[in-house]
Amino acid sequence: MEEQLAELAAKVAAMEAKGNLTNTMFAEAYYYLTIPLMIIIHAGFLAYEMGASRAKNALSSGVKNILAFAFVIPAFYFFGWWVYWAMPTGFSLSAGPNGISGAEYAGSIALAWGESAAYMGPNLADQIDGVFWGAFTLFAATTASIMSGAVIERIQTVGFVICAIVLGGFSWTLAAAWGWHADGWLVTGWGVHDFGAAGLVHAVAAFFALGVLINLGPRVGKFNADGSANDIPGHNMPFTVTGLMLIIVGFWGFLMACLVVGGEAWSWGANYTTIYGTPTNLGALSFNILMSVAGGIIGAWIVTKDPFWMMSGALAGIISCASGLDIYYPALAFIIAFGAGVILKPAAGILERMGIDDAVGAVTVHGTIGVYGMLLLGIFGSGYPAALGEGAATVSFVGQLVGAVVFIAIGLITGYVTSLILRMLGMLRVPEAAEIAGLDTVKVPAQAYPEGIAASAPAAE
Amino acid sequence: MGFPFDTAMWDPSTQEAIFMGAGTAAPGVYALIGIVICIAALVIGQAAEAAKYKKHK
Repeated sequence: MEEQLAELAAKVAAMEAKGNLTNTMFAEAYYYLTIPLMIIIHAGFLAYEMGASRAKNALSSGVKNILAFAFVIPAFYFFGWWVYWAMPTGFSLSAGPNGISGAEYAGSIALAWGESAAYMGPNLADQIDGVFWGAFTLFAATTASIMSGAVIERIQTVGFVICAIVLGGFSWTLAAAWGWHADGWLVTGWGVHDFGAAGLVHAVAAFFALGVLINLGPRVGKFNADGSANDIPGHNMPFTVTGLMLIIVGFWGFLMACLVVGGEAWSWGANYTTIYGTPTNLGALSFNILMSVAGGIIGAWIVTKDPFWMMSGALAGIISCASGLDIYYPALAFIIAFGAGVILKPAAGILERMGIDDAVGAVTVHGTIGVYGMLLLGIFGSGYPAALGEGAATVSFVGQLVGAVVFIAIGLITGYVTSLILRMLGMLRVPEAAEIAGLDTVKVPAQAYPEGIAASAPAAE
Repeated sequence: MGFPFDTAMWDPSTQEAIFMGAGTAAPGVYALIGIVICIAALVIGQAAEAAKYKKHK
């Protein structure tokens, strides 16, 4: 009998070990697969931005976007990841209540040199840090792409890349440390809940872009002497609209990566949770993302009838519900997203009347709507626990407002200061003659349309 | 840490960092070189870009 029991215990232990390994491999694969999905966001931004440029600038806009992606990755490897783990409690770099933050902790896991390098490269004992870092790196690259579209057709390439490095490696990471990390002071102190990063990715990137736009100025010909604005259409609307649809596809990976898989030592519990440890699942995302996409498109269609704004409405719909995708009722998500779609173009018009030339409406789509989404969660989600644990702060309008103001400030101040320094160094804006000639002609050794865009030959009979 | 060069075989129970230079100063050196490459690329890129703009002033 004892022998049989021992044999049974051994079998149970073996099954348990296999189950644990399967869970670990699933968790690793889960985050790994969010990475290529998020790269689709960049394919989308690339197409969107090139299509929104005039033909004379199509390739230079593409070069700029590709370089942002390339430079943000090493920036996030060399210092961004450290910022996320070191700064949740603020600039004191002290450890927070969960003991997974502060300079000492960050120095032990997130630096590419010394002993922590073991966690920053292939390590058979660590099946999570690599894929977590990868997902966060794509969040970082997304912020740079958000800013990228706003500044097309007149920003210098290297100046833009430096802005992207600051935004992707520092600005949004600081916001994430404060508003996403379990030890983040906005989470523990104010109950900020921004599950899908409406504020800490979208609003931070958008207001960073606004800071840059203030120093960069409008494109030649955008505004008349009396202050009225001229429309400067891109050369390829179908390309732009398709790019926007690709961004929507990629956001499924982005939002998937905002979940924490259960059952691991680093998990919050046995099942899916938000990054704050509160319960949710993929079903919540499925319901609410789809309903918010639909609401955003319909809202924008009612007001504009314009495919550019309709697809921007889809993105705005997702962003408007991103903070509470984990807990919204789908019909409520639809209503909130519909509202976002309705206010989208009028809000962009206000910005334009202020003399800001945001070439693709990025400040409105990501910034105005990101803040709108954060604040609405403060109304509808009031009283919900913002994070895991007894005594955790609850969601409130004031908390969401404080979070939104902090995110706006992080983006706007860092974007403004960075671009101001670049302007003083003569590295921000291209010369007017180059802008008028077209940036492809000036600095890209390739042609977007070497044969022009001619009508095709007649169809065969 | 690192690859067992004496046997040139992985131990099946290996559960540690396996990248080249693990446990040595090499990662820091590689990181430093990587950072220098990024900065140099920006400096060279800026010089090239400025030269292009000079022709269109």
